[in-house]
Amino acid sequence: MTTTATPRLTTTVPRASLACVPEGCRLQLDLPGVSKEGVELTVEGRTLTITAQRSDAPPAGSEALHRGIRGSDYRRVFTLGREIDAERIAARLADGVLTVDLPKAEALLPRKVAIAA
Amino acid sequence: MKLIRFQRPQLEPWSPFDRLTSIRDEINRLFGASFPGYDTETMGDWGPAMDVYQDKENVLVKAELPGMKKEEIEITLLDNTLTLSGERKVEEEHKEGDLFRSERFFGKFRRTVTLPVPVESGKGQATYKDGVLTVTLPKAEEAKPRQIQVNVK
Repeated sequence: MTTTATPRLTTTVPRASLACVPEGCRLQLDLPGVSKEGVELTVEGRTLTITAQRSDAPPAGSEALHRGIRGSDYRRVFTLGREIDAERIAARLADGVLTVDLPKAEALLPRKVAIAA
Repeated sequence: MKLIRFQRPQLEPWSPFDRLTSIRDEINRLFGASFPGYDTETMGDWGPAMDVYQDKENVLVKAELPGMKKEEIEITLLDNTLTLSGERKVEEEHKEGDLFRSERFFGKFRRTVTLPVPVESGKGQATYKDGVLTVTLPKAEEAKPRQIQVNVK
C-alpha cells in the first residue's frame, strides 16, 4: 500500500472578472487585504501567474469570535490567448482590486482596408 | 454533498482565454466558502466576508469590501447589532458584443452581525485599507472585565 502526501492548500483562488474590447482585455481580481508590495505578476510563455500576500492580520491580543474571512494568501494562474502582447501587460492595485490590462498585439488588431478607386 | 454542475463558458469567436475558471478553482472556492452560523443576517445581492474579535477594551469587526469608496459604506449600530450596507458599483459600462464575465460580486449588500457584549454608542471608529474595513467598538464600561479585590482579614 502506498500513501501520497497531499500538498496542503494554503492559498485562496481570488475572484476575477474579464472585460474585452477589440483592442484587448482587462482582467480584475479582488484581493482584499493586499498592498502593492504584496503582489507578484509573472508571465512565462502564455501563462500569467498572479500571487499576492495579505498584509492584514487578526488584531493582536484579541480573541476571535467568528471567522468568515479566509485570510490566506492568493494565487491564480491564467492562460493568455495568442493575441495578447505580453510585453505591454500593465497592472495597478487600488483598494484591494488588481486591474491588469492585456492589450492585443498591434499587428493582430482588425484593420480596415481601403478600396482603391 | 451537493453536486455542482460545471458549466463551460460559451465559446466566443475570439476567445482570449481558454477558460476563465477550471473545475479545480471551483472546488477550491467551494471549500473556502464560509458557512453561516454565528448570528449574522445577509440581505441584498451579496454579503461581505466578516470576522468578529474582542479584547478587553473593544469589539472589532473586520469585513472584506474591495473596490469601494469609504463614503459608500454605511455602518449602523443598533442595540447590540452592527450593520454594514452599501452598493458596489460596476466600474465601467460594457457595450453590446464585448466579452464580459465576472465572478466578483457587485450590487447592494447589507449584513448584520450580533455583538457579543454591549458597546458604547457613538464611540465607534472605522478604517478602510486595501479593501478591508475594520470597525472598532469600545465596550460599554459594565461589559469590560473587572478585577474583584478579595479582602483577607
